Amino acid sequence: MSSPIPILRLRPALWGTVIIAVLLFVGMLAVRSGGTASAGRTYTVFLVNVMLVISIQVFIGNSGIVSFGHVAFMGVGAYTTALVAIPEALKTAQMPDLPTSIASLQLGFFPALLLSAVLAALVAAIFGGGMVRMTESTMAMATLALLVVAHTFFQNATTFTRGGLGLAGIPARTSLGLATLIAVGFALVGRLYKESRSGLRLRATREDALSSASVGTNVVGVRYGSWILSGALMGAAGSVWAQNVIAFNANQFYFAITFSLLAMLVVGGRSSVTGAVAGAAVITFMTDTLSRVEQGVRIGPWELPRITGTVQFAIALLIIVTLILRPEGIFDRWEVDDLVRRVVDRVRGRTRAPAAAVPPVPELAAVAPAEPVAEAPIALEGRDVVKRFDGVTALAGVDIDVHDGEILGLIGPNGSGKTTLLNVVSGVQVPTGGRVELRGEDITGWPAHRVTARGLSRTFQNIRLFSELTVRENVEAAAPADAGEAEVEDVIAWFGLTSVERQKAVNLPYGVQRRLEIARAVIRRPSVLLLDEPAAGMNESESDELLANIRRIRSVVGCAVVVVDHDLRLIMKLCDRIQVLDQGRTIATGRPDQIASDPRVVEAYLGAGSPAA
Amino acid sequence: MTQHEADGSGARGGGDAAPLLSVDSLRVTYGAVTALRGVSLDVQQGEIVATLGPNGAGKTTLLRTIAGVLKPQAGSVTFKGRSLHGLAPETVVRRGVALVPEGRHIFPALTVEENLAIGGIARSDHVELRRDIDAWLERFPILGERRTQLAGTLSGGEQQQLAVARALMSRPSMLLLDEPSLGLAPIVVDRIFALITELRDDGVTILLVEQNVHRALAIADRAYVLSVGEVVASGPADRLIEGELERSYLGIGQRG
Amino acid sequence: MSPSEFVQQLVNALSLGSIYALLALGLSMVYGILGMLNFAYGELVTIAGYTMLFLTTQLDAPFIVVALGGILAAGLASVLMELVAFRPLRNASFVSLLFTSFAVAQLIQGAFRQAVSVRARGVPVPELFDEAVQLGSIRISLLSIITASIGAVALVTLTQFMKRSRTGVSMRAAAQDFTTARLTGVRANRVISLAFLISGLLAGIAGVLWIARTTSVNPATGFVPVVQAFIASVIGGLGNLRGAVIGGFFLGTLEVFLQATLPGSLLPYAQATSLLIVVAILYVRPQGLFGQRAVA
Repeated sequence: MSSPIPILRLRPALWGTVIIAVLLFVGMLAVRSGGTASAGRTYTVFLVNVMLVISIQVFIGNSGIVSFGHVAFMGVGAYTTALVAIPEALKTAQMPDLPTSIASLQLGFFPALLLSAVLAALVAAIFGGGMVRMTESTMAMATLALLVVAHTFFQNATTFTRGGLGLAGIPARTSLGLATLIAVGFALVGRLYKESRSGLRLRATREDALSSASVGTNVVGVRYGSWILSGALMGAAGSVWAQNVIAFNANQFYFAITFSLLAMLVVGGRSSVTGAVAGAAVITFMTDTLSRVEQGVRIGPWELPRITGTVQFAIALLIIVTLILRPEGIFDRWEVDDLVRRVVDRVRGRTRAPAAAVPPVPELAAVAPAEPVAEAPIALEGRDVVKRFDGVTALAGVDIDVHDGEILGLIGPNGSGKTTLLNVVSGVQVPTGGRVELRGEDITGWPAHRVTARGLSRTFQNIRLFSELTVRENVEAAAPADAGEAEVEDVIAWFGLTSVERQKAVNLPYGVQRRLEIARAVIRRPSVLLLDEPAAGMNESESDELLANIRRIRSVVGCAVVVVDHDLRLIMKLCDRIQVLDQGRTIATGRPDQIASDPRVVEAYLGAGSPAA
Repeated sequence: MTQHEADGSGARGGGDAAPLLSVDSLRVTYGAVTALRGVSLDVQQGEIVATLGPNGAGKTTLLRTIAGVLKPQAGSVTFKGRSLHGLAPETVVRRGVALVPEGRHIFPALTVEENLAIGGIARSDHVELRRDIDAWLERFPILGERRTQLAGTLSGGEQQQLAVARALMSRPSMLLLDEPSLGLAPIVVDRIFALITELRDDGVTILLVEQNVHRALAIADRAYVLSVGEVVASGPADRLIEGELERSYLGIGQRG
Repeated sequence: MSPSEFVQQLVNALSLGSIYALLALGLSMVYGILGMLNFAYGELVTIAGYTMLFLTTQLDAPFIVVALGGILAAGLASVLMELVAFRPLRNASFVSLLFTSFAVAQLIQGAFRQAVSVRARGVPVPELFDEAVQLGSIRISLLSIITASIGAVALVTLTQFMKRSRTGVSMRAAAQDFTTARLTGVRANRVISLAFLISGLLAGIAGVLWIARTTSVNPATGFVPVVQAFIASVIGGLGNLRGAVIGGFFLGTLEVFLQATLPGSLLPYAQATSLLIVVAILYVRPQGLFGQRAVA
């Protein structure tokens, strides 16, 4: 088994960054040798914009949550750098009340950048702690508050910022070459983060926060980490920006620049580093060209009048058009190396495997049915579990015992509480009363990701895959931290998914999606596996295949399995024991033959007065 | 208080009259799931038709598609001779088809009376509307007692009665009932099913989706059995009770 | 703080609070039915302001006409906004709609910058508004009383409308369960347009009251109170109408009393401090005071 790797798609990430680096360097050389001084300035502005947008993209692109407040971190970085880079004499002249410790401090380019990043990260850490617990829309509003608070602070802390008057005299240390280098660095960091384990897990929360918790991701934690990294990057970018514009004031860290940067993300592609670069290019070029038009320009015999706000107009229109025609932006979620690979494949005549071809489950040796496991130790125990909500009692005191290695069927009519029991046991819901123990450890009320970390994983009734991620990424996002590439590939092969590894989960046929969901649960190496209606929508031959698979999983993984389903034919054939719920209570437990002939069970399903009762 | 068909075709269960509702080769997919794979069924005016089948068979999808919440990829739905294809739910209800959704879906922060009022929102005859509301509150004394209470505080059975009354406020010719017995105690289910029979006697045609097989067959004229999106059996209710139904979809009595 | 000062500040709080409450209510109403946060909502206030400017300076209309004109203009603009910018994106994601409304806001601001002026323009208001009422030792500004009263009347009228009228009940039903409302016959497009109309009128009323206080309008006028309104609707729990009103009054009161009690040097931080306090509340209760807790 290979060693666990923190960066999952390292080679594509490096290749992608190399391509971007080449493009940026070529552009720089072209501008330096052939262009005017103003073109050089514009290119530097473009590069700084690349840094700013990538910083924001690290958070927004991966978490899917909008932040209006990132310019606050840019301001922190810019002011920090200004305070340590402006020559002492100029500093004391502009800010006479500055403490001598700061006044005498002089730092070079990189130390200033580093300090800016650290302070911005600190501010992000302090303000982010509460925010990442909020819902999507509330957090967006909280970031708006952050922007306003930061802006107010910058405007009024005149001892350090000179408010609206601004600071001047920052050494112009952002040369064209240096900016190109640093921009490439940002692209590398952004891309590496995206392809890292944390980045992938965060992207999974964007697709389905509930099931990512159920595959072991601490949603709040991974959002927090991304927020802080993004803040640090933004502070660094602010530092580079300050050393390019050499003078700025507090009014700049507000909505105009926020709008501009978000426009770059929307147009270029929210979820892609390449998109961030492209968006920065489009908007910078537009801004530059239209600013000239705004001044009033001659085109041939016509003289266009001054139109204030042309830039804002154009950008706003571009955003709206993009959102209508291509909502995810020009590059969508693609990186430049993905596109290159597609072109190369097409040139070489290699076409993608048609999505319609359903990969068969590999022929593995038939597994003999396990011996009765009534004496095996108890893997999962629920005692007197009660769940009430909105005046409804879904569970009225249910006991459940799952022995090591057994397959337990959980059945009952609709509304009997089966899914609620699964939810309570797996940490998706908190029980109103009772106790749940996993391998002797009390896990009552634990959140889903902790329960999963302890060894219980599950699938959902309505398939909750990470739709926009590939098959492989779905499994990787679920894999435990110490699982290596080989283990991931093993599981994918075992479920017959290797041929569709690169397909997006949303494009898979239904049966294959179900298989992927189970694969995702299995890679957690669970000691208890909960399957919620795995046979839904399957015909007889498909459910026979499922039966064989579940038996194989039990043998190979060595876990206990709890299966909830309405396909009673499947349940009777598959399970060692069956537990029947009705109206939130257990009405029968026993072997399949016992349950099939139990009149209470027949009555619960068919209704009273049935001839079979 | 309910609409009685004026065209005089009081025939039940077949005959030469054109069906009130006709579903033909309906195919509905969402995402990767093909929920209905070519389902056809008819409901004659004045009938109670039951649609049975295990979970995931497509029963709810069928009702939601007829009501206009889902759009079919292929096939047609015809009501009173006119197609319901592509119509918005608020238009379908104005054509005379009302759905009581699975899980009841009463408006929890509105009062019982307001819920009933919403049921009649498409009607313009305000005086009659007021009379209907009072009549329903009288017919269901429990609702009458709780007329100014928020609907979210009602019990499951009370909410079910409210949901049915709400749907009937629009004076539909056809009522679609999705799992009315879900999560209710047997004695409450008795009353709901008695109500359904009364409604049929009042002239409302009913298409019923139910998991409680025996009860559904006890009041239905005919039934269809769905499995994995297809009709696997159909016929008069009394002929479906014996053996075959249990064997084919409940799996009871089978061991692998 | 002396008792008379306290009463003065209380009236101020009610006055500012009612403006925020009206705006928060409009925002929450649209969110409740459509699930979207309309970033361009502030622009409706600006539109009301510029309409007032036009009616006073170009047509020399009496103030009551000016005020009504502003209110109606905001309502109309809101309905148009929905028809033109948001309906084509009806089923788009929350984030897409948020960005679109952000862009629409910029478009409108830009339009005013171009069509009128980047600079602020004074809006003449009746001298009546400068006067104060003397009750014993307490001196209360007439404008505050008028603002608080109009705000109260508007809120009460709206509450009665939502409670009693058929349309109001259908809007409430649509906010609770849009699909089921359609199943009972509520017309989707009509309810949505109506929600935008009402929220636009609310913005118009708030706008008129705001301009009466500030006596000037500039392209970014609407933005200041609307940020507060966003925060207020979040405290109350997005989509919760009662919560929005309470949130508005809470934030207004907080701001006024902070302004009255903060030492001079910290005075500019009054708004920022109130925002920080709100964020702190959200830290403890992320769903707001009356909102629903999110799953996971």
